[in-house]
This record gives sequence, C-alpha cells and structure tokens, in this order.
Amino acid sequence: MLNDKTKTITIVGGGTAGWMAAAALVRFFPKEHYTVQLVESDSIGTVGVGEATVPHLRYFNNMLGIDENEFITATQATYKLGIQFENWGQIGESYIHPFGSHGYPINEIAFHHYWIKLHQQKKVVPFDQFSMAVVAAEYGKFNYPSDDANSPLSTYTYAFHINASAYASYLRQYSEPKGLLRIEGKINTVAVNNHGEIDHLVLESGKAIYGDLFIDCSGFRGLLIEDVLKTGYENWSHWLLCDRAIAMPSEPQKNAALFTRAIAHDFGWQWQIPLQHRTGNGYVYSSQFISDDVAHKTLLENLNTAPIGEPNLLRFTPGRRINSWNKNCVAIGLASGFLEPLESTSIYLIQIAILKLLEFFPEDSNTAIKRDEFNRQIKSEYEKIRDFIVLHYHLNRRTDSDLWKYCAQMNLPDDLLRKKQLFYQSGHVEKYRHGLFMEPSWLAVYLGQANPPIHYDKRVDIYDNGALPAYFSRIAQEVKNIAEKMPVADRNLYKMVEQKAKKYSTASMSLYGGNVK
Amino acid sequence: MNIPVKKILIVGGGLIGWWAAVFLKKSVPNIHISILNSQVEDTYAETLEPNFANYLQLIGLTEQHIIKYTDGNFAFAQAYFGWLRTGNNYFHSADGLSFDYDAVEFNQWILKLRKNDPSIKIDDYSVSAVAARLGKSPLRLNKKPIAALSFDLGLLKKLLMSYALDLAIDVINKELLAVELDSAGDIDFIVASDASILTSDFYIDASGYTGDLIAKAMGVAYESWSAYLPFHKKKISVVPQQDSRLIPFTSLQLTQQGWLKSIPLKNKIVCEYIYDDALLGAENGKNAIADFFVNGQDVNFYPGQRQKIWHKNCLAMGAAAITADGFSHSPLYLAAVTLKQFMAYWPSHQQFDAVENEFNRLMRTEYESIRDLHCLHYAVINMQAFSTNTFWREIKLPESLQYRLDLFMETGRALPDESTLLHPSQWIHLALGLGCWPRKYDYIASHHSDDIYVQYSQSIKASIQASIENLPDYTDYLKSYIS
Ligand SMILES: Cc1cc2nc3c(=O)[nH]c(=O)nc-3n(C[C@H](O)[C@H](O)[C@H](O)COP(=O)(O)OP(=O)(O)OC[C@H]3O[C@@H](n4cnc5c(N)ncnc54)[C@H](O)[C@@H]3O)c2cc1C
Repeated sequence: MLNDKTKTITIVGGGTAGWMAAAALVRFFPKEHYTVQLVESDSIGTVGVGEATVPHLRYFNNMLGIDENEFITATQATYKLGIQFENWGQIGESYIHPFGSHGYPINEIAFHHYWIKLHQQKKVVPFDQFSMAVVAAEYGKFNYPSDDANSPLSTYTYAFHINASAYASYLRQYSEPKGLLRIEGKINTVAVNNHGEIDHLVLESGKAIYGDLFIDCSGFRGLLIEDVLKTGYENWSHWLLCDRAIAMPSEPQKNAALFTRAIAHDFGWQWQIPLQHRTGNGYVYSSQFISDDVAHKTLLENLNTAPIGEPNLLRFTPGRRINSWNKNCVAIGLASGFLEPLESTSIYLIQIAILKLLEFFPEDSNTAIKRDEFNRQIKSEYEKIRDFIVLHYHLNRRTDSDLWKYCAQMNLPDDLLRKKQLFYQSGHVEKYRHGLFMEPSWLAVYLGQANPPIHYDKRVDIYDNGALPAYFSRIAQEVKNIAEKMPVADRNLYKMVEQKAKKYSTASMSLYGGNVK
Repeated sequence: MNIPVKKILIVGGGLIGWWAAVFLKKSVPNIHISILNSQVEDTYAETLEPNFANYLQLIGLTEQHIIKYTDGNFAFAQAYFGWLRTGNNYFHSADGLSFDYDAVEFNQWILKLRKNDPSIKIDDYSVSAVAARLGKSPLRLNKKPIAALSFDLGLLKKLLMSYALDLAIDVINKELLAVELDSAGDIDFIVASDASILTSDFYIDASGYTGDLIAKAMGVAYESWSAYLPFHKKKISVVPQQDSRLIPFTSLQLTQQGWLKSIPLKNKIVCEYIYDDALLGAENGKNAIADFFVNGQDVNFYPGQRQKIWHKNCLAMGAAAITADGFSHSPLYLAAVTLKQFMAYWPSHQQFDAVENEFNRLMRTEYESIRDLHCLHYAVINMQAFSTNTFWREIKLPESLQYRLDLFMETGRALPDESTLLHPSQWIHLALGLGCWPRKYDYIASHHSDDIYVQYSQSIKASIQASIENLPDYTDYLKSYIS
C-alpha cells in the first residue's frame, strides 16, 4: 500500500457488484483520504439479470441513506414476501418459502414439533399456512411489517423484485456526486509488482490506472482475481448440475405476484419475477441433459405473458473462488463465485462481501489476519447457502428425469448430510448463529417438499390434551383474518410509493423480520 | 435404552445433582426422578451470571430466595487487582459500555481516544462498575434486579433438598458400588452400597470429576486443558464478613504464584486461592498463602471437558462434564445451561445418534468458547509482559484463542463465533479492561476528531456521575430488598 495521505481504491467492473461497492465506499470513505474509482467497459455487457432479492437489501439501502420509495420508483420494483416453489417435491406440489417464521413456540417447544405431530394424524393444514407472509402473498395482500414484537405483523419482513441494471444506474447517480471517479474503457493488460500484487491496469487507450486496493467486480471471469492472481476456483457442479440459463423478459403481469416463482421442469427450473414494467423469466438448466434450443423452447412454452425481448444465454460454473481476497485484490460478485439464483442470494452475497470489507478494511500492510477472517466468513456464507440450495434438489420424489433421480441419490456435502439426518431423526434443525438461512427456511423446504421427520419432540405429548387440532385451526384462521384485512398489493404499492410522509418498517440483516434472530 | 423415558436416575448428591433433580421434576412432572445421594465434593460459594434468574424461575425460585436463604449477595462487577501493568484495577461488569457515537462503536472510538490519552479506563463508562467501586447499588427497589448473584453452595443445596421433599423425588441415601452395562453399551443398572439394584431409563452422572458412570463405566475420555489452564490446586477458606458494609463485587487478585478469588456473601467471604504446587515450593510462596489460610481446605481440580457429555443413556453434568478455573460461568450456571439445552434434545426414540451428536456439538462450542475466555486471563499477563515469573510464559494458548486475539489486536473486533453464552461485547470489554489494547481502530472512527470524542466521553461520564449520586448505598439497598 502507498504511504501517502490519500489512498486509491480501484473497482474493476460496473455491474451490480461494482456499483454497490462504489456506493458503499464513497458513503463511508472521506474524500480527503480516499480516491474511489471505477472502471467499466461499454463494450463488455453486465450480467444484470439479478432481479429477485432478499430483505437485507433494504438494510444496505438504509445504510446508504437511500429513500425506499425513491428506490422503488427508480428500479421499477415490486414487493416480495417469499419464493413459491412449484413441482420440487413432486410434480403438482407447491409451497412458499417466506421471509418470515411459522407460528410461535408453545411451552418453549418450537411450533413445528406440534405441527409434525398433527400432520402425522392428518389433522392440520399445510405448514406454510401458519406463516403470515405466505398467506398474505397468496391473497395478493401486503402491508408493512410491525416493529412491535407482540404484533402478528412482526413475524415477517419483505424484499423486492428489482430491475438490477436500473439499480446499478441509480447507484451510479448516487456515487458520482459523492466523488466517485468513473473511468470508461476496456482493460487490456494488468501489471503486477514484484510482490505479485496488482500494480496497475492498462486500458485499451494505453492509459494506466493505479490503485492501493483493487476490487474485482469483473464478473464470471475474474479478470484480476483469477486471470492475473490465479487464485483458483472450487467447482461444485457435482452437487449443482445446472450450468446454463436462458433469460427473457415478457409483458408485465396484470397483478404482480408478491413472490418469485421457481418452477421445476424436467432438467432444471424456471424463474418468474414480476416487475412493474415487465416480467423477468429464465430457465436454469443442465447442459448435460438438454440443448440450449430445447431449453429455449421450454421457456417459451412456459411464459405466461408475451415475450418482449431477445433470449440471453448465460453459462456458469457453480462454485466459489477459493479466496475472495488475495493479495491486494478483493473479488466481489460473480468474480467471487456463483450460486444459481434459486434463493435469490447473489446480490445478498455482494452486500455481505461489501460489509465485511468495510469491517476488515486494510488500512496498512498488516492485513494477513483481516484477509484470513474475511475469507473465512465469505467461505462460510457461500457454503451454507450452497447446502441450502442443494437441499431443494435433493429432497425430490420425482422420477421423470435423470436429473431429479441423480439429485435424490447424490452424495451430499458432509454438513448437509448431518443436518438432514438430524432433522429426519428428531425434527430438530441444526442451529447456527451466522448465516443467511435459519430454522424457518430449513423448515419451509423440509416440510414444503414433504419430508417430515420420523419423530417430533416428545415433550409435545405432555401438552397434548386433545385440543391441539382445534387450537391449530384457530391459529391458521387468525393468520387468514389478518392477511385478509391487508390492502391489495398492487394498489398498495402505488399508494405507498406516492405517500409523502414516509415511514418504513425497520430494515435489518434478518431474513425473517423482528422475531427471529 | 427404554423409550419413552419414564425414569431418570441422578447419581451424585452434590449441588448439581440436586439442581438436576429439582429442575427435571419441575420441567417434566410425569417422569419419575430419583437421586442417589452419594458423597460429592462441593466447594463453598459460586457467583451466577446475571441471567440466571431465568433458570431460577423455571424451578420456582427467585433472586430474593437466593439472597435470603443462601447468604446471598449481589455482585455488580468482578474486580481485577494486580492484573494490569499500570497498577490499576479493573471492575468488569456485564452492563453498559454501549455508547456508540454516530455508527462508531464504543470500543472503536475509545481506542482512538486512547492513542493520545493512555489514562483512559473503560470501567469509567459502566454504571455498575462505578457503583460497585463506591459500594452503591445500581439496582432500584421497584425493579427486577439484573445482576450476578453469589451464594453459599451448602445453603442452596439445602434449599433444593427441602424443595425436593415436596416434589416426590425419590431420594436414595446410599453410595454407588458398581455400574453394569448391557450389550449395546448402555447402562443396564447400577448397584448401590447395600447391594440393591437400581434401574432407570436414563442416567445423569453428577458424580464429579471421576465421572463414575460416563467415564469409569462407559469409558468416555476426558480432554485435559492443563496446557492452557495449568492450575489444579486450590485452597479454600471462609472468613467472617466483619465489616458492617457489604461488598457488592467479587474480586480476583493476581499474585506471583496464582490468584486469589474472593466471593463476598452477606455474612462471610469465601476465598479460593488457585495456585501452583511448584511455585509454592519457594518459601515466599508458602508465606503468601499462610497469611490467607490458616485452616484452609485443599481441593484439587482438573480443567478440561468430557469428550462427549451425552453418551447413550447417560448425560454428564458438573465436573463430570467440564471444569474451568472459575473466572466466569460458574459450575452451576454451566450445568443449568447444559440441562436446559438437553431438554430441547430430549431422547424421544430409539435411534438418536444424530441428536446426541448435535447436542454434544453445541455444548462443545459453548464450553470451548468459555475455555478461551478463561485462557484470555492468562494470555493478558504475558501480553503485558509484566510478570517476571517464567511460569506464566509457559502457559499455552489454544489455537482458537490465538486467532481471536490476533484478530482483536488488529481490528478491535471479537470473533463472531457460535457461542450463545458469551456476548462479543463482553469479550471485548474484558480484553480492553485487562489491558489488551488493539493496535488499530476502524477507519470509520477517524471520521470524527478527538475533540468530539473527548466531549462525548465527558458527557457520558458526567451522566454516569449524576446517576450514581442518586443511587442508594448497597448495604441499605440489600436490607430493604430482603425485608
Ligand atoms: C441466470 C442468472 C440469474 C440471476 N438471478 C439473480 C437473482 O434473481 N437475484 C440475485 O440476487 N442475483 C441474481 N443473479 C446474479 C446477479 O446477476 C449478479 O450477482 C450480479 O449481476 C452481479 O454481477 P457482477 O457485477 O459481479 O458482474 P457483471 O454484471 O458481469 O459485471 C461485470 C462488469 O465488469 C466489466 N468488465 C469485465 N471485463 C472488463 C474489462 N476487461 N475491462 C473493463 N471492464 C470490464 C464489465 O463491463 C461489467 O461492467 C443471477 C445471475 C445469473 C447468471
């Protein structure tokens, strides 16, 4: 690192990752001490299909001081309460994985243990019907969650479907007035110093771009982290077989759904993401099993509004850069790894990497421990999300294609196998404190894909005096009643956006809102 | 193993055995609980973490019961004497120190401030710590007390025993003679001293360090922590509390040969001197001890943990499961946490190895994080390099603690770990309080000038000062509290 007063942080790439990083850095790094610059090339496009997000993005926007309604207008966003998974357990089945919890603990025993008992007796409605977010989403109703922990409205939170390219442009407008230096140009070569660190970039024009720290947001390729630093990539395609996607926008839906749809097909799955002005669609599939043409055809056949753009083919290798931070280069976004968008996690992973970078920002040359800790935490985030995505594929009872048969029988990552066995034997979800997906999410998938455990917590029997079924139908009814009273989503969206006096619910780094830590 | 569990037999009549008996009977009333009231070596006094009230509540006790019937006393801080090279003492408390300034965390701006002002002491920013020093009570009579609680072990055991009488707990006043396993390695039955045979569905080993069931019979090994926590001898003595004023804090005094812990109760002070044999060989060492303990009692202890605390149809608790040096998280506290966690993983069917593994995994995470906190106490002695005694220098750090410390020294941050018993801020405050000052603070702290932090710091101290003046004298407070 240079010793002079000001330091230069050079961001390579102007996709979602590059612009999110730029915005956060200019927000927190005083101009007097830091120069933040971003290089992007008009001739190399961005991926920019990132459209479904998780609630954490609200926290990120808050941190930047971005007004939520302004953001909604700028990114043509719609509200999102969860993801609807169709045909995953078996063709014809469907459940919603919500941004919220299900029920509440009774006598200090988790709600789902009671549900499992009643389910064994066939005396209870589906598990997701105990989630406020699910029922509201199904009714097409939305309201801000409440901050009052005693309110049933505190049991969920929300995210957005957004136009990611519009978000990137918005962040550009945010960043430039705060001092961000944008440099247009294609990077031709990269010069390395005698410590093997990145010294400077050379653009096609011949211009040299220096930096103390380089943030590699150059996309799949990893221009610095891989091409130059040869950091290495861990390939996860034996667990995640899909390696391609065809994306294609279509006309907007009449009433935008409050959830992302993830519809499983023979050799992959299709996303459907409602925005204000269009519907985002795509088919994620495995090229081992079908050709791009067949995939394209499948997607076209399954659109429910008319296409309004050309198909966009994307190839990827599921996996993770072995070290996101190597020498004086930190990779963020697709340059640091790729997990398919089944749980809308990519933008979250960008956000996490940025937050960790702020936390462990290298102020001087003594960075080894910061780098190690950063890499450790990023690795753990990726692996935990990977396991959760793999679970969706694994817990299927489909026999209609080799892909699904393979997934049902594949060898699981050790951690996942342990989690699955624990749940199967006892109904317990393995506990951890750091990670995106916690108990409510694991339950949503285990139970949503019809894999109940053989046993529930036997203490439930102590409290079961025969009144449980009635009690549970009352709870389900109550959830319905509350959801029904919420405003209709579409009208509500515009009403809320137009409101002058703006008061949003608290944004937090939680997938479930106030009640679940 | 018999499922569902209808009978539980607790082996060991120490405090922890009795706690287990009462807690289980209260939590699962339809289960038959018996306790083999065999001899177990207990110590004299302990101090419980502030949130222990939640556990007391589960068995129908309150802080007031503890204060009244067990010679109990609140502790608003733990005072460290002789632990700092500066010669200062440090009052560690669980509360406060949460004064962030415009997104800059307390521990970050205080680091920046300290670069130019080495006299900064972090316990000046905690109401509890300041109150404890002055013998005042940060508690108000009309509010539920949240503070650590010290108690007389023997008295609490008596209280639990009398309680057990009303609870239909089967008390067997015998010693343990033998344990028989079945072909699957589960405990089949135990033989009591009068040759009677006792069977149960599940067993709790509260027999102390020897682990009569889990270790002696079932062969589950013990992992020693002696490389990190090298002391294994204590001398305990009880002196009457002569001052009419009560002491609202526990204290730890570092000496050349070990350290002295004092737990003041209402009517007496329990002193434990943790020392090293070899060091005591030196004459001056003997004298140092002699001053404190004329009739002290010798106790051996062996820091470490059981490899698995739940094994087949047996759960180990107390010293059969874990022993540390006593800086924090007392044995009863850990036992209560362990048992409560166990309740959530109740063995409800034949095949439960995954459940057993998960429970053991969780408890190991907790125990090791507590071990690291203990080791931190010795690490800071070396980091400040003020002890001439080579003994301290030979103490090793667990790798995990070394990593935590390296990270802390470079970033001022605690490692985000999976422990639920230790809040990261507690770790940070203890490290700072014991003189372990990170080399760097967050760049974000440099957004404001020192002047602004100085002002902020003064305003915090002023408001603490103002609230202290209105606080009641602790001795008076406690009198009214129990009357
Ligand atoms: C099929 C698919 C669906 C997805 N769906 C979602 C979703 O629903 N939710 C979600 O959160 N995420 C989703 N993602 C992920 C999301 O799109 C990405 O995480 C996000 O777009 C970030 O991309 P990026 O900025 O890292 O890279 P890119 O968008 O690829 O940007 C790379 C940038 O680097 C620049 N660059 C590259 N090489 C050079 C060079 N030589 N010189 C100069 N500039 C250069 C380019 O100009 C460009 O600006 C999806 C991804 C895929 C593939």
